[in-house]
Amino acid sequence: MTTLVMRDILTNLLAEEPIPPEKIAYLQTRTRLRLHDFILRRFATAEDSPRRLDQAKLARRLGQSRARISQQLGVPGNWTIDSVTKLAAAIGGEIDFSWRPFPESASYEETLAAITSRMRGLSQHEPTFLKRQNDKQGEPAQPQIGATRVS
Amino acid sequence: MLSAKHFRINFIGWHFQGFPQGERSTSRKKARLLIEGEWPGMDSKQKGRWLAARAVLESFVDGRWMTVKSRPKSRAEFAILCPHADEIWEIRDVNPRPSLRILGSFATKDVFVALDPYERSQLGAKGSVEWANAIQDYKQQWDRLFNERRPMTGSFPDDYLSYARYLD
Repeated sequence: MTTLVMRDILTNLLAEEPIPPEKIAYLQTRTRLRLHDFILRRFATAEDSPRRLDQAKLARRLGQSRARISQQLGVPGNWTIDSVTKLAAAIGGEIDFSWRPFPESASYEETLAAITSRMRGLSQHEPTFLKRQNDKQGEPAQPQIGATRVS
Repeated sequence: MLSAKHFRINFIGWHFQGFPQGERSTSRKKARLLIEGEWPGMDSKQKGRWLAARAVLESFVDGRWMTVKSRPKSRAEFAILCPHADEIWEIRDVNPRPSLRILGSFATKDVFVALDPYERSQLGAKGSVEWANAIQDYKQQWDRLFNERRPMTGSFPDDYLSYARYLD
């Protein structure tokens, strides 16, 4: 069976001018997926809360049809800052951001070691708000959750 | 194998439009080159598409919520093919074109064995000869690799994925 570990393609990204469009495409997809995951997690948490948020209630809060809400939650591809802000507000919060610079240089082995170390660290030192939610839902720690946080 | 916590993907063999037939071998190196956008001969658009597909794979491996297809024309990231009993799934990255598919099966919950990547256009319309051949190839590969061992079966989608939503 093939065993594969993917190389970090973001190291030394800024050494390339212009930044290759395929790497921009990768980052755009990654950001969309992370944002989608973030909203779905918040929605799932709200679904299980005593107030029991559901898509119908979300639709009423936004003055939209349930079908439209279902479509929005199901497909992150056409989200805009405005639409995701509305979704977050209807779920009960807002999105804040954190900054993560690209690694400047590292060998493949160093990158792998850094990722492994970071994952171990995260599992031991999760942010309090995340740990509380994880405990509630029985979720594993998110290796890259630091990209976003709820204020 | 990609692994983060309980979520894993195994890459076995890879197909890519334009590759000579003889190049369709099980290859760790080739799999890596495709999803790192470094396979020789790919143009920028193809590289971008495969790197975007990589982002979808990473999302699964990171244990993030994944959308699963519940009706036609879906843009969900996972779908199980008909007939369900074959237990053949696809990881999908549908936008922008070319749409990509990675056929695979779940060995157990959250462990996806990825066998064949395709550009969707390679597979033709639903029910086409190309689709039938792809499925046939897939089954043969699975049998060759795993002998009697079958993919897991279960209730769609929660027996397969810890964080699955079908919302489309």
